[in-house]
Amino acid sequence: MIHKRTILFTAITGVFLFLVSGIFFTITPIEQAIILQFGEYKRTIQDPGLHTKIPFIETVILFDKRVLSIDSLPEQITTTDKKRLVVDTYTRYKIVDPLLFYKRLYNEAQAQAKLSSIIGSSLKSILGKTSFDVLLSDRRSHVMEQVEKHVEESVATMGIQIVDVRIRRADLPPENSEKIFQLMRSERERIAKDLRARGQEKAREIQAEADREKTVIVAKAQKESTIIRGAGESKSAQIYADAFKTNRDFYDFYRSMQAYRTALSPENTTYVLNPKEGEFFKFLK
Amino acid sequence: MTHQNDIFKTTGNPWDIPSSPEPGPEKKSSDFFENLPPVFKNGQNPKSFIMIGVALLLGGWLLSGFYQVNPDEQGIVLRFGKWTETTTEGWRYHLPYPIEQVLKPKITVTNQINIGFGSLDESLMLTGDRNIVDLSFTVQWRIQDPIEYLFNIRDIEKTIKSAAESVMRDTISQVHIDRALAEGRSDIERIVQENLQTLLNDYKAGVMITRVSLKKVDPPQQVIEDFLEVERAQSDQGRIINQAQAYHNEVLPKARGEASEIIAGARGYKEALIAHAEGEAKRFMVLAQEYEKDPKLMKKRLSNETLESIYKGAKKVVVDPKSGILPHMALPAVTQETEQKP
Repeated sequence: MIHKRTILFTAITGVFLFLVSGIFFTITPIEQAIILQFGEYKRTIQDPGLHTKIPFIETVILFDKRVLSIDSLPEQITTTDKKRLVVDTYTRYKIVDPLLFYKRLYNEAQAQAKLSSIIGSSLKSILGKTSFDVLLSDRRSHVMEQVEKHVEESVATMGIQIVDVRIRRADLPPENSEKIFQLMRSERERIAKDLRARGQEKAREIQAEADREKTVIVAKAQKESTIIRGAGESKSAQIYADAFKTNRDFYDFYRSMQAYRTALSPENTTYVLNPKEGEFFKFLK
Repeated sequence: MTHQNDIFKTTGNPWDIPSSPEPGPEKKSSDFFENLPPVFKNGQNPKSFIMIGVALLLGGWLLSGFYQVNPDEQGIVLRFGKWTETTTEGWRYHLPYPIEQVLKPKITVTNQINIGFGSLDESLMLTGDRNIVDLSFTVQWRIQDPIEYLFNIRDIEKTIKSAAESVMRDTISQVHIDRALAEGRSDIERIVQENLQTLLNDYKAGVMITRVSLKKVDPPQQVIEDFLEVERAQSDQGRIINQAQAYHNEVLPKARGEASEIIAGARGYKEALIAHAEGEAKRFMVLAQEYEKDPKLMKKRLSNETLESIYKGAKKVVVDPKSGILPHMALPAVTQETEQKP
């Protein structure tokens, strides 16, 4: 008796809980859902909270409501100037219309595959009309916008919204790196040579300037020296003149004596003297 | 078929749902059980036994709504999945699962993402002048808006990383390599931080980028020697200019010294000349005074003195013309000259 009651009680509780869990379901802020009745679309739920459905008859299909991402594999793309590039993009998108999404793409895995190929072809068609130089400039973001627009147009009826398509990498393929390294090397060589040459130039300039200043300084000093010497000479001439003009007669004689003394200097001269003549030897006879 | 999100399974995700009610109340129940009046204990009344069991379960369930929010967290309370309130630090209560649940993101913690530390694919970037630079950097971020952070973006760390890499490459592709290697670093950090923040704001990621810092910015391994050569050339340039400067600094004082010497020499010459003139003048005046007294005597005296001084040091040949020994003259000067000839 008691056992039967217990079993009955448990069974009723169980059925009750089963029904409750079949009727109620929750939608979190990161989810959205569509309700199907035997496969036929009924309604879309995008508000988070507690919701109800008819148990067993209606089914809930959940979709993510957040921004989702696709990292596409690197693609080889040729630009207008015949540069081959390895381009790697990532895309953010959101499921905005779960029903359309469900119909067109079914689930995320398929959406991923489909979107990747759309992005790949958009990239090819936009970058095919772009030159490499544009990608290495501030117009790069403009290119990204174009790609995004192109992708947006292609996915317009898929129930998704493209938040962002961005080029992560746009590099030359690895086999081209050596070429770049060569260019980098020659550029560095040029810069190094240039630096050294400029150094030489500057150094020569400084030295030449120093030499010039030196010459000028010395020349100025010599000029001043000549002036000073000249002043000295004129002053001494003045002194001599002042003295000599007091007795011109004696000056003649005196000056001659001085001149003999200097002109007939004792060195390197041999005198042949006649003792019989002249005042000098007169006491030697 | 349902698309169950994997979010509830991911480890480290803020959606931590306590898998079992807190053990506290259950443990207490044993004491509680022992202290019951004997009428309950005899096992003769299974109905009350069940009732007690149900009451205990219910009590435990209600108590499981208590939760603690640490100072570095915020509690985001969801009722049937819908946000109802945000709580701050302390003891809090929410209606027990499955009615309400709480998420506790750590809002003060700074997280760090490293980019370019692993593969060369990630660290080699093209610069605006078509050079390649080997670069690594870190991005620090924290949660700014917990609700946006939790509910808007799946796989947020990966999103930040991809966005950061994209923004960095975008920025580097517009910069000259020499700027990236040297003085442009802080500008690059600032621009990347700003643009990354703008991008994440567009995504409504609820994330704040607190810092972007470049760790390594080098030329690639293959050309590093050439870059070092440029550095050497730079120091060579400095050295050679310094040498020239040193020469300049040495030559000019020397020249000025030489100039002073020349001028001093001239002054000396001038003074000496004047002094000499004055001396000579004085002497002349004195002799002139003597001369006036007796000109003849004075003349004689002076001419003798002059001859004396001339003949004194010189070589002399004294010849008497009347003695007839004239013709042969071995004059010393002439002899010297012929001997010198080879």
